[in-house]
Amino acid sequence: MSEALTAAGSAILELRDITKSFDGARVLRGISLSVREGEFVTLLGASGCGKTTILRIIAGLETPDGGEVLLEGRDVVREPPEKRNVNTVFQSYALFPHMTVRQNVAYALKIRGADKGETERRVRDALAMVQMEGSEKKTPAQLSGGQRQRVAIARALINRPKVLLLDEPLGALDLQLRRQMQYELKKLQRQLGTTFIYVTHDQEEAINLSDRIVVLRDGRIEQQGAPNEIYDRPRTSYAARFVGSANVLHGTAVRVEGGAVLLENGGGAMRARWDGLPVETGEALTLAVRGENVEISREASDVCLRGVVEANTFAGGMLRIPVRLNDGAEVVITRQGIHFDFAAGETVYLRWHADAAVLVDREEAV
Amino acid sequence: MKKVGALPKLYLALVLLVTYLPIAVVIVFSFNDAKLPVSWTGFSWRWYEALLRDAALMEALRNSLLLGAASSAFAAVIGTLGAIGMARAHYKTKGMMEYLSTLPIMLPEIILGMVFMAFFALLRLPFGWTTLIIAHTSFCIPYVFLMVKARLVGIDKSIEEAARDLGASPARTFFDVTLPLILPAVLSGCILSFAMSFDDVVISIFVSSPTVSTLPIKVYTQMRTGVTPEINALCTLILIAVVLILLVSAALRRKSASDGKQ
Amino acid sequence: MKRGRIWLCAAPLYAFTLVFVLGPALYLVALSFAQNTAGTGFCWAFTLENFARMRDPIYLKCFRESFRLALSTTVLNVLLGYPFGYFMGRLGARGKRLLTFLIMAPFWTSSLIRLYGWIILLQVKGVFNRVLLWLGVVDEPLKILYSYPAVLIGMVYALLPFMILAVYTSVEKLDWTLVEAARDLGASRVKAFCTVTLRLTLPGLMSGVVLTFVPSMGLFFIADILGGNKIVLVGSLIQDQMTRGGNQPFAAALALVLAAMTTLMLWLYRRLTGTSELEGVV
Repeated sequence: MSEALTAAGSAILELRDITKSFDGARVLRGISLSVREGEFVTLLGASGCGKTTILRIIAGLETPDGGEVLLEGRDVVREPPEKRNVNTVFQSYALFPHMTVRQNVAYALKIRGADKGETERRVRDALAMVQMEGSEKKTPAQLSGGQRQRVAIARALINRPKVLLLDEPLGALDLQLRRQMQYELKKLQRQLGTTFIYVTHDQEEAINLSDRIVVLRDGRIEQQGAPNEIYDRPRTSYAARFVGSANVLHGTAVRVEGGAVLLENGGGAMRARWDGLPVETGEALTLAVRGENVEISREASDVCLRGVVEANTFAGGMLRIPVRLNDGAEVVITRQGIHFDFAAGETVYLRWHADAAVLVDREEAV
Repeated sequence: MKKVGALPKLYLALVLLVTYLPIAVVIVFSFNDAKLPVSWTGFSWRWYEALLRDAALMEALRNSLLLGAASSAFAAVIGTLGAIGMARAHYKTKGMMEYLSTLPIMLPEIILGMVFMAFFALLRLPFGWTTLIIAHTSFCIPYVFLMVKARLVGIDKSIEEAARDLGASPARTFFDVTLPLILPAVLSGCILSFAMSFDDVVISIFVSSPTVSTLPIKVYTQMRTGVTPEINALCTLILIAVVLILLVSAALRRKSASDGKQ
Repeated sequence: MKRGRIWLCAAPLYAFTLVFVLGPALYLVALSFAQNTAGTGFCWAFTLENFARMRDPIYLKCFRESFRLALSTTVLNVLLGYPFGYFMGRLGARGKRLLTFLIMAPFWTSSLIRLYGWIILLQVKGVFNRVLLWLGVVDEPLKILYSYPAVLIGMVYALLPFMILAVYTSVEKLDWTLVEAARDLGASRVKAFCTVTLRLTLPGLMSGVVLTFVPSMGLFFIADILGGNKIVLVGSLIQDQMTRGGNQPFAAALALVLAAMTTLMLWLYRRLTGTSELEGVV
């Protein structure tokens, strides 16, 4: 599973075959991951996929059943959280309610016994970094959600950790604030050059922020790579659906012609880019194609799918048009703007460029 | 939607009036010149003066205060540690243990008193301070335990984890984070324990000795033989003290609640 | 997280509970099957005699009386306390705080003192009778003190705060929009109250019932003080057997039966409401 990344040699954090069960339920089934210094890695997955558990294992808040956690090449599995040069921004922020903002941020320095002047200076810097100057004397209860978030980040960064772990830090914020914080987080990470490991279930967040996305499913790594790589070339139907909400369609192979595979199903015929792996005629294949790449027309052509427009809904500056195919499958077409020429109930024909569709779940078929 | 009519308000006022009537009567008669609480014969401080001279009554008061302080202090330590240990650890006997340790306030007091009397006799413990403190501690523990437990449940576990994450050892985490957060609950539990101990008649009757008596026992004996108005005076003073304690406790509760909201 | 030694915190509680709760409890059970001997002693010979003795009409009457008193106390407390807790729960934040304080304050003062206040009020030449005579309601002072009604008043008075606070805790948590929804769907005021409000505050009400019924079985000193020696409850009987009677095994058997009845009540509460903790206990 681990890519050529380990070869880079400057892996600051490495997980080797981590397993973990809670009350007999297997949460992590062998996670191996290598993170370079200064990288922004996002663990992306639905709730219950084990992403938060991985973070907690790195922080030392959870002990894995098996496997190794190497921090700068040293196995730290047996080390308690306070001994690890890793800090966490908790999902609930976990600010100390009985301390002021200043005391919260200074806590790690206080533990280390830093002198007063240094503490003063670094707290000021940390708060300035998250634009929270002037709130030193407030208590967490007096802050808004976004402000608490900033304080939590300042608190976690004050000790200049090698790795910062962020557990859905923007989950509790509203959409607008979330977008703004995404931008600020990314800027902060570039500025500091600190390695960020970020957990989220929001694909948009993952794509916007990360150098690398690790898609998790049921305690396994489904696929990892740069955002555009996963977006354009998902390897599994799960990754395709989760990142970029692609349509996943099944069909049987007819033939390979000119770098494309021709498939057939009850709705008609379609094409996908050939991945170079052997394809046998009659083989069951799955492809993923994103809504914005699907062309729609009233006229049939030689390779197309036939269906009926079901409705259209407007969301997030985009039209979503579900089309029910003859074989019962659904393809959701997306279009920018609000104008769309086809009415609900109309019969339409769908097709796309062969390069826009990717064959997925190929390993499993082997 | 949430409005309460005049009639319900009248009802609330009426019930409260009846609640305070006996207390008001006691206070009023503490200033009465006559010995019998039947008719008003004039204002006087004489019962307050008599109270200060009544060595037996003052000793009973001192005993009760000491007993309350000792029992609630023991209960605070045992109950708080117990709540922490049980909240953070998991083992099979936990449910049973919780049931057993809160049993003393779930059963009618008479049973507790009777059982302790028999059990202390079995252990050949001399009746007096030791037996009183053990018995009172036993019914004070549940108040502290339940209050601290409820508070611990309300604390986000990641707050403690954050302290560890920022470099604090488990012990440091406890003193920096956990203890300050549960302290209001510990204090409320202590105050409630003290009040319960200070007021207890039933259990004390069974485990006290003729030489070590508590205020409620003295009052109880007097009520069966003949009450002197000194008791009224003492009660008035205690009432004032209780109201003060209650105000402090209410303030603590409010602080605890606002801390927990985060 | 590794929390290997945290359970050690609970060790003092464990030790105390095992020695001073479980120990006495087991001893109680053992004692209730022991043989009483002449004088104040007893010997460890297994017998059911102590339980058989309870069938004596004198003791049966005592149980019946206790049960009747506890039941009347509870019913009166429900009738008085539920409306109080309900209205209290509908007050504004300041009203709630004030009333909580007013309810709690006397409930923490000496219960004996408050009983003494009732004696002053109820005695033949007391305040209550003077007012009645002055109003011309009665020609002769009423002899309420040292009677069943006086005991009932004392019991209801002592236990009402528990009922009120239990109901109030439940009403406080009630989502009033549910009641509005019921009204919106066509339920009358009464119907909405019965189907929604009462149903959802039932745990509090039941908790109040347990919190008044259980102690009222054992509060012998109220019956002692306000009832003279006319009303003998199980509590008084146990005390009498422990001290004057000198029959510890019989006292133990009585206490065991009382404990069993209490446990049954608590168990019923848990079954009926599906919760394990009483509302408004602390």
